[in-house]
Amino acid sequence: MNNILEVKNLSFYYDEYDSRTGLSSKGKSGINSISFSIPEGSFVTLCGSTGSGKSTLLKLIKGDIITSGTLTGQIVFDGTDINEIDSAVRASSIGLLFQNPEDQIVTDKVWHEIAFGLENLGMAQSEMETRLAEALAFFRLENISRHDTATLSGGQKQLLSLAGVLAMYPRLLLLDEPTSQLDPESAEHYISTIKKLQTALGLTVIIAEHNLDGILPVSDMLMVMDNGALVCCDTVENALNTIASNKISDGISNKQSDSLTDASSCSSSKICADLPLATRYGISIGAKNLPLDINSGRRLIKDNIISAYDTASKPAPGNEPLVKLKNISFRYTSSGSDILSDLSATFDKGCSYAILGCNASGKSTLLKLLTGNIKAQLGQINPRISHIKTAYMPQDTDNMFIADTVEKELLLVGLSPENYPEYIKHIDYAKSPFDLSGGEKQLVGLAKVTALSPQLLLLDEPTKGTDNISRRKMTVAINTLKESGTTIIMACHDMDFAAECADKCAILSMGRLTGFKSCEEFFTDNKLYTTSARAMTVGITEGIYLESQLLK
Amino acid sequence: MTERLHPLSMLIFFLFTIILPAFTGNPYFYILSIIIGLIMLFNTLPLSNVLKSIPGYLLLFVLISCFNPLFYHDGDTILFYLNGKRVTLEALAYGMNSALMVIGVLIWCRIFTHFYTSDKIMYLFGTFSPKTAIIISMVLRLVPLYREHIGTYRNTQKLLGIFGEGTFFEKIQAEFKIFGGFLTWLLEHSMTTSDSMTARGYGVAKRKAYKLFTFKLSDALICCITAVASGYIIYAIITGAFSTVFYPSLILPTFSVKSIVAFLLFGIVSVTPTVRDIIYRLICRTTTAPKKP
Repeated sequence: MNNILEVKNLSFYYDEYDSRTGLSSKGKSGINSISFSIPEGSFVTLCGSTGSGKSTLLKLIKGDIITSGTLTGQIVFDGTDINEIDSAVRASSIGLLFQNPEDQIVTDKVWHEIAFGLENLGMAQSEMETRLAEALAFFRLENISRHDTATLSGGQKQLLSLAGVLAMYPRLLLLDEPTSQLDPESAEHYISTIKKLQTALGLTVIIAEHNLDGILPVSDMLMVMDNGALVCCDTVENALNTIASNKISDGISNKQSDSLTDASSCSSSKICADLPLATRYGISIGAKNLPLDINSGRRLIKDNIISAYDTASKPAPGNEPLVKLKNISFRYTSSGSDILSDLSATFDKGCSYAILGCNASGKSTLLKLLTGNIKAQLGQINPRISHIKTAYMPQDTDNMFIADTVEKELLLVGLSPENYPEYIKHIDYAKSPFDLSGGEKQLVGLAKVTALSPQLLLLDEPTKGTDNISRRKMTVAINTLKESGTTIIMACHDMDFAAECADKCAILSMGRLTGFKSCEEFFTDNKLYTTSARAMTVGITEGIYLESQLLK
Repeated sequence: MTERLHPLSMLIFFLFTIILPAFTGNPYFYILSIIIGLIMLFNTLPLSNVLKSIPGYLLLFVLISCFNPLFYHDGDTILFYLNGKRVTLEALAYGMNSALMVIGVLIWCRIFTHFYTSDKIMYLFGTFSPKTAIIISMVLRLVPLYREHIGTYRNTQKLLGIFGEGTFFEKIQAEFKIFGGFLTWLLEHSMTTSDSMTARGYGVAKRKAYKLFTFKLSDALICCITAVASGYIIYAIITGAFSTVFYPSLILPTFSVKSIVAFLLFGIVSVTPTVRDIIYRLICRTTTAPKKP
């Protein structure tokens, strides 16, 4: 099979701009002499911790995106040096897609977004019409073709961007964390669409991701990057075996102290944290054929029956209620339908609650009601919201930042560097909060809201766009907060996270909450909607629902 | 049917119906334009929508009609005195005539904004300058997006206590800070948009705009008859076929062959889209299968 992409000895340094002298010089290294080749038609997963150079590599392969910096080495696309390819051909044959669904959309109409790339190439009208029709049909966007792009959901927006690139007939698709801002259902759909492009059309895909749960089973190859260097690039099986035998865990720098990760055999390796639970389980028991999904994980568990596991006994929190909701009904417009209908709940002091449920079930609405920002049409909140000190962390943490460095940002809420909580100590305070990774933004956001020392802390999708390391830091942070008597309510999709740090869980569905149950009860009772650890052990070993119970 | 008119012929049609009557100065012409405009309005927008706006038009009519005689006192026929000032029939008639003109323009503008969607504006610009078209498209997306974002951003900052219990001056300061933060957000996020544009080959070749509309025979016909009708009506205006004299005493315009032909031409052209819509709807009704019981 011929290689569609060959990277030879690629190094890249960002230009450093000296504001005093006004001169640019060779600065921070982005990529450190990387070489690899990708056979045509492969599905390659590119992983590595934040700041490992994944995005930089993808942008360099695409070309034209990073304009300042020093590049050495060679990128060969389909037998030709990338610099010798005509820019129009390069624009169409290599597609690059980004993380944020909103930002990469350019135009106001769905049809125009797909036509945008074709227009840029100066294509004839008749050909544009055919390609637009093709893309609309392939991605099933036909019935929204005339809609405004602003009315689409995040998942639809990502598919639309994909359709816009595909209409240009690319041969290589580079995806930079495309699902990190999506809810699990949309992410699954997106990955399956990408997989379909690879299997049905023979497209080569390189996808950078943090969360490898859904991607690893469909990947052919796994590339691991660390600190700008390529640690390994091999078939998934070989790469995992390499990781498992800890050959690369030593090579991976441990600047983030990993005391927070659980005591599995591979805890020293950051990359391990992002692997699917089943794979981690396989590594932890030293299995030969590492499982990639829940089902094969289950087979492995059947052969290695777990006899002893820790019962996750969480201390029962106090029963002093902080706020009571009674028969709350809410709708956004007078003629709209009820988002919440007759919802009742009691939230106790010093207890953490997870509100689960699918997209648009009203989770965020419930949190906003508790901030007092919107008011319910019917029902009572006791005591009044204005009498409780609440703090709220929105889904999009970008909304929380107002200063130009992290340090100034936290100074606004009275936090000086010596008082910083443990979980943000690894972050570079001089950076702009916008330049942080998804996980770091969430942690800084959390530090900002907790500094207000609220009685009631509301977190909307705190794990959106985060990597596993940040998630674990957040789990510890939330558990510490709870001990100090703060009531925490979080809306989340991420059940594994909810299981780790909530005392009580409920599903918001059809406008009301199923009664809050303790985490253990909730996840071990559920068989459909539950954590991966539970799903792996249903019917084999009862009572396991936490990762830490499974991984020893 | 009307919504599928080519943007160019649609623009010509609306220029004809919005602007041309205003220059006639003739009350009969205004009334004709209002009647046809209302028919078209009823035919395109939901009934309740149109009915709701009728009182507004009436109120406007009364206001403009009364405005002129209150401030302008020329004219031979004195109706009564108000505060020692004359209120004349001629001034009232002049006010009513202006009111009719304004209402006609408003009605046709409303139809225009209903049919002239952003797609069509973009198309027109796209033919002249594809780059302007893409900028318009981006603005159309970003303005509502930014407006919404600054709202959520402000709310979030409010919950984070940026306003505190400060004085008026401190609150103004906070608003400035919020705006500054919003600008940073905007710059950060537009970087990705710009990368996304580059990645899809913006600027690599001479840009061509995708044409959502085709120029059909019916479009050509509409352009032609509109042009012919406008030509004749302008000729009639110049030769004084519509002249109405208000001062010193009111002389209502008389009908001549010239003016009657102009009325007919205007009526035929401006009613054409409505007739087309109605015929099309009838065809659809007879050719589509009846609903199953």
